[in-house]
Amino acid sequence: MTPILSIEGLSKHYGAVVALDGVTFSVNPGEIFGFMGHNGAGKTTALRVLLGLTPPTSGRVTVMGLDPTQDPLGVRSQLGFLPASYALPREMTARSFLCYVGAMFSMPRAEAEARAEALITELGLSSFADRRLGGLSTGMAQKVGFAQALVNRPKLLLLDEPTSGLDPLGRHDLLESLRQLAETQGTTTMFSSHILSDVQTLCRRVAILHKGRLVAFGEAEALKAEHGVADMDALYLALARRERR
Amino acid sequence: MSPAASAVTAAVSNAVTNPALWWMELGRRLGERKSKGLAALYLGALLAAPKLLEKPPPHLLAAAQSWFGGDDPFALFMYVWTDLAMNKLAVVTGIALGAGVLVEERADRSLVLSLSKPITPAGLYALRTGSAVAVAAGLYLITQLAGLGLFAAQIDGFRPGAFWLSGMVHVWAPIFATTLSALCAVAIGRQLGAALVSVLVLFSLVGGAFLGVYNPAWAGALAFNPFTQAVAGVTHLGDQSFATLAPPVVGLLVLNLVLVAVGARLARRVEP
Repeated sequence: MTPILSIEGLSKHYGAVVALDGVTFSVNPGEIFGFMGHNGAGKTTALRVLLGLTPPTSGRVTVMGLDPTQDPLGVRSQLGFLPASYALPREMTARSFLCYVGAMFSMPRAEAEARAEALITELGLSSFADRRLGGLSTGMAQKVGFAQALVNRPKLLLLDEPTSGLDPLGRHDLLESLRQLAETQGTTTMFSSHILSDVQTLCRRVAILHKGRLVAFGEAEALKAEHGVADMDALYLALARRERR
Repeated sequence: MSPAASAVTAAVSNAVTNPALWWMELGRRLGERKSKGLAALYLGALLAAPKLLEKPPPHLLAAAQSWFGGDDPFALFMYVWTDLAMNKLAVVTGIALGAGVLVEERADRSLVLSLSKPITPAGLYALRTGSAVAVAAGLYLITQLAGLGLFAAQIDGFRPGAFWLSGMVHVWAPIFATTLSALCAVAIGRQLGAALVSVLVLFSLVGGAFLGVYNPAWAGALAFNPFTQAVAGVTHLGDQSFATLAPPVVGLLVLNLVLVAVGARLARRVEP
């Protein structure tokens, strides 16, 4: 199977700070892939490189057959991205913002409006679709953030800490939406999180970063068996302790 | 080329050329609080200008007569309107709308969402600066249009044609202030720094806009000042013609295009 996303020997340095150090893994089409690590492990940096927002110091990255350093717009036109830390334009409504995002993907106005309406219905945004984004709760804003990542019907979703700040119901809804997207549309998701229970619920394969280095990659169940642990929390702790030695 | 590759190429090349995006961007700009605040300032200028002329200080009257020749009350009004009201508003407009282009969005963490879409930093800069310029020019021209109706009844010797023509040249003052502030934003990288530098540069230029009128011996040397060019409609009140007004408009158009191009180039280094 040809990976939809592959990273080979990826390093990224900011001066003397090594954010990523020779990271190698790949993601298969249609899977929900767990990308784990503590805060500052390098997950967000890796996602930025995948989007072509920042160039790697060394290594090779391929996203849907394209090199983000050479063709960043080609990559971004086919994927959806939800950053860990972002703000929505305060004065816009959810509906007008989703239309605006549609226009950024070159949709004519009518198509952008239809796509926004479809997302509002599918993701249950109707009750606040015409309220200013500046007045939305964290959970509502996160739903709009998730919706904007889906405007272009992406083949690949890059989600950075998507469940942070969500209540249990919101978390459940988002994880369920990702499952449905994978099952019904074959959407691939790279699910970056430090909430290990979410990764355990959703992902069959994972990559784990620790201080910029890849410390594990493969089937979650196999990794747990290999380290003699029962869940992802214990797996992560075991790997982190091993690295500390 | 495969259909998928064609679709990608189309999305890439059309993102900033999509008219729907420009219309939505304009709507977004108009919805911002600072656009509404600026509209209130322009309305205030419309209402205040005739009041300023009710009892002009004698020294100002004498100075205006000496600068513009004769005792035409319309000339004095045009000086007050253009220099005391609209020149200052042009600077405020430019800084409010331009000094935050990209850097304000980076600071409030909304830039990362925009740049994760198929649009380059340079394209986004052109889009945001373009909408800022459209709002700046729109506010100016709507105010000028409203002034046509309002001032005709309030100002002695009001000449609607000359008023409108001078506005068509002076509208380039807020446009220039906006493009310069936007350039400062991406050159300096911080909104506050860009605003401070813009204030310094723009108010210095505004202060010198009429120096060539006050002292004709300096007129040639001060012609580089974009605000001097933008008040050509007032300084040529007696001989407004295509020959006198077209050169400053063309010069200002070229200058603004250059500023946007340089800003777009600098914007390429902006990371969210």
